[in-house]
Amino acid sequence: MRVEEVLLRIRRLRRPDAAPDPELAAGLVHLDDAPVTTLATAGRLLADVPAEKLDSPEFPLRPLRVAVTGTFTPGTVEPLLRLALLRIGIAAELHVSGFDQLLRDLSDPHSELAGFRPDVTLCLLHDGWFLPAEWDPGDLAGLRDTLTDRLGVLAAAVRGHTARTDGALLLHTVPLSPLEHRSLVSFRGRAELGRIWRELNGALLELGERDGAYTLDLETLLVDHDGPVRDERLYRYASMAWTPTVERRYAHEAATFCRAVLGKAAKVLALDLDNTLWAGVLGDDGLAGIKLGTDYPGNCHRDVQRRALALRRQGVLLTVCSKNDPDVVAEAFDQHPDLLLRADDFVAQAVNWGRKDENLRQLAGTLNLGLDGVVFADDSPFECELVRRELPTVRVVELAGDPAGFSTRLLAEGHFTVLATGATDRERTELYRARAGRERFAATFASAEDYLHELKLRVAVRPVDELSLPRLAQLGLRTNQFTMTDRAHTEAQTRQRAASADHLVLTVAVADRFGDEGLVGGVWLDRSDPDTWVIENFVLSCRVFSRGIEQAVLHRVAELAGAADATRLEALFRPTARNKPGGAAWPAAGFVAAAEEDGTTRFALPLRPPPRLLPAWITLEEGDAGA
Amino acid sequence: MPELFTTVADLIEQVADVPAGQVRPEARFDALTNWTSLEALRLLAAIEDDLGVQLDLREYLAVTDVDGLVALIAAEWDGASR
Repeated sequence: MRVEEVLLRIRRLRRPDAAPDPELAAGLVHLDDAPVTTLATAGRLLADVPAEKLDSPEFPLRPLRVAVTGTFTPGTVEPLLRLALLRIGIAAELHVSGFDQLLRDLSDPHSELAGFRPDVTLCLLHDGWFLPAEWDPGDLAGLRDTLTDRLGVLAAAVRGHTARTDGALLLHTVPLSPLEHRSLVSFRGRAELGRIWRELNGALLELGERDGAYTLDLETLLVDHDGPVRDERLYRYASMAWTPTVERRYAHEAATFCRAVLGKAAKVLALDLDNTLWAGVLGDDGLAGIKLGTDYPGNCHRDVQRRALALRRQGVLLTVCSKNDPDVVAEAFDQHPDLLLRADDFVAQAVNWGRKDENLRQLAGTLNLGLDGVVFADDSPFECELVRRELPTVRVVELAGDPAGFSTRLLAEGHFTVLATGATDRERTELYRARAGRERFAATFASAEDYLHELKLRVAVRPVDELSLPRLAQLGLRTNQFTMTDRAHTEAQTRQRAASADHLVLTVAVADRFGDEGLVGGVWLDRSDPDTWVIENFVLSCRVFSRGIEQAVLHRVAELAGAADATRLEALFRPTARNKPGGAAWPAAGFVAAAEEDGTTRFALPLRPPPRLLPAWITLEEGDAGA
Repeated sequence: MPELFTTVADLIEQVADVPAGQVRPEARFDALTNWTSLEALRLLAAIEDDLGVQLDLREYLAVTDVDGLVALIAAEWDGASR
């Protein structure tokens, strides 16, 4: 869904006679990268949409009463908050007080806010409320006393409110405007002001340690905020203490708090392995080839492991969801010296060549937890989109771009945020491991073919050329899983065959709607016997497994052989420790084992009538493949 | 300047949620439905975000109609490029 489409669908829903749009709430994530003005517009428009028109079994909405009060004009907090809440499945009823109503709202049992009976009360604070307008830079001790007084007033109001209600209340630490800092001319004075201000923030954090009060450490979160906290013009003219982008950041954090209040934090993290927990592909690069040491980019992946381990220690259940050979993965967890996570850290592992949506479903079933409590982290846009589509309640973290940003991506959304953790959280992994046993997940190839159809896969099979030859030879030598031999052709051998009329060397390139995967495989053919073409080797990168690509390639090879009047296609297969996925291709495509010698199996397929191997969801690109 | 007008009109429609077409060059802000000082500030933020200009708040608040606003932004652009 594009931003314009989301807005259009919101506008459509505002008509009184509009039919419900059950996909819209889950689709709000598509606004994530939109400018804050657009988000505010969306949030305002959503105010007129009744929750039942957005609700759906796949993305159920929970009601919550949320009040916002503060010491300054909250600008666009209301629409941004409404949107941030709906985006994570909360249909809130909002009550927003005007400028500087905080003390009255909290201390008066008959205030409008009290009458609203909020489940959550958000308190927005700014430095100008604590600081006297005319503070004396020569009397910082006096300033400190004033701040302590102001805090005492706030604390009394907060305690009164929490004593009267059973709702949760959220305070936050307050950033000090650099303008105040610079009003002092001495370094010593500025440092002292900084210390006094941190005492205030420390006291605010303490206020959030008991009863129904909590404190968000906003000062820390704003460290990586892009731009000023306040726009001086809006502050002087309208008492708005936050720029819209700060409001957006706050809305996101406050929404996460609301989700924690509802007890809907995620409980399970399902992690991909290759290029997620380490750099490289274990099956191809081998134990020694994957990177996760102390240098870039291995250290980025190691940091992902560190964060995952930290989550486990706080009660999040870790699972593996990876397309890999289970024995190779078990060996890695057992033996790789730089892995921070070990097999014991996971409550269950789905390591097979099956579809990841199916594996996630099974994982959740085994743990007896709902899919809405599962976070799935993977670097592949293909897998992420598959899971988003098939399992809309699963929260997907797409680890895209530079691996240096992976840890931030994993944690920024606050999927796992809870109100407090305790001793039992630390032991949860052991508990669940005992319960789930060491179940190994069976590969399931049951297909949701409509997804594959929508991928719009295009496969091009072409004779190798000068440009692709070195890369193809590299790929052939490097591939361990989908390959037919441990004696792949060297570059010189490939070059020789490419030039010989008795041979044919083909490249395989794949593209889908996510983009171009480029060169992902190749076929080495011996056609010296015109009646029987022999596939000496066939390699395919594991990036593109389980999409029927090998079938499409063999379809084209059969076409080419048939067009040259061959009646039979043969394939050689030498089993190695790793190449089970490669060997499985032959029976799957209808080849029958015909002979065996010296550890090599010869498979055969008759070409009359021509075999129909092309999956319906793949388009074979016309290329000059007949040469 | 017709493109600039279109952009500004579009932002006004977004910010104040006025129906498309109501925003004409001669339209006065105080005559728009739902127009308050809050909408005015939201529009300011939207314009600055979208068009990459920084307006003087006094001059901005003195503007009464859409044409005047377009002229103010255009003048700011001219000033910035000089």
